[in-house]
Amino acid sequence: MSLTHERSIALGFTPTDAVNDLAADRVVVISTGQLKVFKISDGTQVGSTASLGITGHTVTMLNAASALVCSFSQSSADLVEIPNGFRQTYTGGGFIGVAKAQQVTALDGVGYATSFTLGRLVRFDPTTFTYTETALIPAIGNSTATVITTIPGRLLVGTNRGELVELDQNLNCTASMSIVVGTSPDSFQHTTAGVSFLSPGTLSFLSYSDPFVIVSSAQGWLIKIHWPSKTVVDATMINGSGNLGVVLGPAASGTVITGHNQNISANVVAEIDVRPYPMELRDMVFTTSSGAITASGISGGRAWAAITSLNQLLVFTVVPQERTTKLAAIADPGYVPGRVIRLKDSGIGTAVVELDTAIGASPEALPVSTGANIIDIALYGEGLDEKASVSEYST
Amino acid sequence: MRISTQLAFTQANNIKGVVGDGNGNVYFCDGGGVLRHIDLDTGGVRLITSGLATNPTGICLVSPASALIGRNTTSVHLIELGSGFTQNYSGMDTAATTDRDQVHAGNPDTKIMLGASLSVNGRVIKFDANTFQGSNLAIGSIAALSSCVIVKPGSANFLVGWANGTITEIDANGTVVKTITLNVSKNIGTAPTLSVNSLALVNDTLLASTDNGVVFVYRYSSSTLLQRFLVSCSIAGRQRGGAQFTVLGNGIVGWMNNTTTNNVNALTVADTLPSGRIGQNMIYNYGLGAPVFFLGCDTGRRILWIAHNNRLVLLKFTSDSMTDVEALIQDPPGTAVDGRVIRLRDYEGLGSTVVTDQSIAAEATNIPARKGETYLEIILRGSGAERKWDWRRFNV
Repeated sequence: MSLTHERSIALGFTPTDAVNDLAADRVVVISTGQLKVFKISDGTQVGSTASLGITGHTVTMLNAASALVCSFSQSSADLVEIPNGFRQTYTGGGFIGVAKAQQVTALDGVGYATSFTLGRLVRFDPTTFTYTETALIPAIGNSTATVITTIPGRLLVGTNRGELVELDQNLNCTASMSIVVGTSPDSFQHTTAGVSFLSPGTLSFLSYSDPFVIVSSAQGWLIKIHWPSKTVVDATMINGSGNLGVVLGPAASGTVITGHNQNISANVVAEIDVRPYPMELRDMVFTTSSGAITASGISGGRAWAAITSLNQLLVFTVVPQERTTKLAAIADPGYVPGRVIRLKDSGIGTAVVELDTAIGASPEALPVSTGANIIDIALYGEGLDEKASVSEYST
Repeated sequence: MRISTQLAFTQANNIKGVVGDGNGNVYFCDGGGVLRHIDLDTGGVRLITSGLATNPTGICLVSPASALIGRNTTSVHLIELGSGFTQNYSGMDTAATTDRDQVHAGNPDTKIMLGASLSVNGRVIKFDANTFQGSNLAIGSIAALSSCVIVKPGSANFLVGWANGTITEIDANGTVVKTITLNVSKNIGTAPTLSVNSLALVNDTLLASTDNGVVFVYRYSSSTLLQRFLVSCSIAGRQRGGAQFTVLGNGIVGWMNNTTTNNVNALTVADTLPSGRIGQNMIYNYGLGAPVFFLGCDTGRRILWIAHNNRLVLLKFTSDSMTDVEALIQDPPGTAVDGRVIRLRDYEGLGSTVVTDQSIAAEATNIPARKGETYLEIILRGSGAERKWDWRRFNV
């Protein structure tokens, strides 16, 4: 993909968080005192500005009609009706873990936020309108939840000690891992006296691109985890000067939008393709002045990033890599299952893996870049009986 | 690459410059006006001289036997390293006071030093150790401060980074040989001004680190932008923003991501591939919670040094995780022919990645591979109807 700046929407406040509205093409943005909804295709505000009853730090959409806003400094949450701006404050919960974005999410219409209290989350039940701290979640234990998002059917919580905890809607742990960056195929580290280098530290942002979880940490790590096997497959140091790590928005087609979550001159909004190894920074756009990117995302064919100082929602046209499909089949002599590795070849020294997938015993249409020279490697059989076939073609 | 041992030296004063000669000698000056020598083979440290300027701007070698130290005035110390004999020379601007590498760059072969000027746009300072003359060089019409200088490898020329995002190659007289302006498209509105704060040129790959945390990778000969990626951006401006580079050997560069959070300070190592794609390899945590000011390497001895405040750490690194695996194309068997070798590291079940894509001649060719990994190797040769391929899988 590539990014082209389309417009900058003046927010009229300093954004603390923003999320995709469930309606395509709309983004919900909050400051510490207000909530607004913008249509990013034309930059217009949708509905009324909601005045928050709390100091808003993070927001999620509970459903198509309501947003939940939580606070780092108050044990209350605001439920805001979209788009009319009607707001109700509910008390009784807890402070969220960190004063930043991605501290609240929704699963099956129920809101879950990080909690400043060890081992707990805060839960908003829209049927009873109660905002309460949960019981101790053993899988989080003595850690503090510092980031939360959803993956299909599950909550995914990151902690201040580099742990990831997957929870079902009953808050039962269904998977977990302590991230050890040293297990990356290409990362090694030396432990100095008194310094644990094995953990990436406080987890800051999460993004899910099946089957990978992408994590940024306050120490500056950007980590790619093969979630089914809990394997760190890529880890690189991308930024760590601030306390928040780089922003990661929800992934779309293997792409996440990122930026420095600190107030620097000429910040960048960057697009990272998380599918190849190593992860590839595909495109970037420089901002005009200082400002921190507080939240980012992709919605309806557009990417967006909320930036402080400028107090804008930057909107970008996302131009996807033009792709088509090409049938792949492995025959020996009849069709057999196997593995297809598809390389994009722009000349010696340029080959990159576009696709590496298993296929069944029948032809399958697999995606491929258009206007490219392609090398397909088909592998089948195992051990000493493993065989390969190589074919080259242009698309 | 791994770090096998480390050795730390703590000084009474903050370190202000470190330089090595590539032959087992490292020299460093500190804020107390002291110049010391480390023998990398023994780890021994000796005092060369004291009583130097107490706030030096950096150090470089201008001959195998003499070092130049910026005095934070319009003069420099020239020091005979064996005896410590020191002579001061003037005639140039004050050098930039940034507490980092690449403020001064000396070429011991030509005995010329060029350095970044503290406050005069479009100028670099020069000291000629052949004639013992200090001077300033006006470089073209650049309306910005110079921010870093390195010797162009294998050349008498220098590469200068500027606070306006420009990189110039100049000869020792200041004549501009080549200019690269960092490609900051795309941008929103006015193009940003980035300061080039560290440079590395390895083979034909130029890496430029900037104050906003973006590293630019160019194929130098053609000025082609190959890649941009993000690193830390702890300090904006011409000071220490971005990463600091050192060249570890042929085709490899290393940099410190100057991260001040949670005691992480990451040394990243990258192979520069023919395509310019960077294969990063994060290897070391400095762990002192502040930017590393100085970073260098004695490639032959596989020793890195990093320095921060009053602490200098030597790191012995090994490449024991890599080994050569021979590639050879024969057609027919017994007859070596040339062709193309593509190697993929295979994370069975997790994907694969191209790690080698190169031409080889009609002979056995060693290509590094990582121990413990599984590779797929594809061979291509000929064209059209004569196109042929072969493959193999191997474990290292």
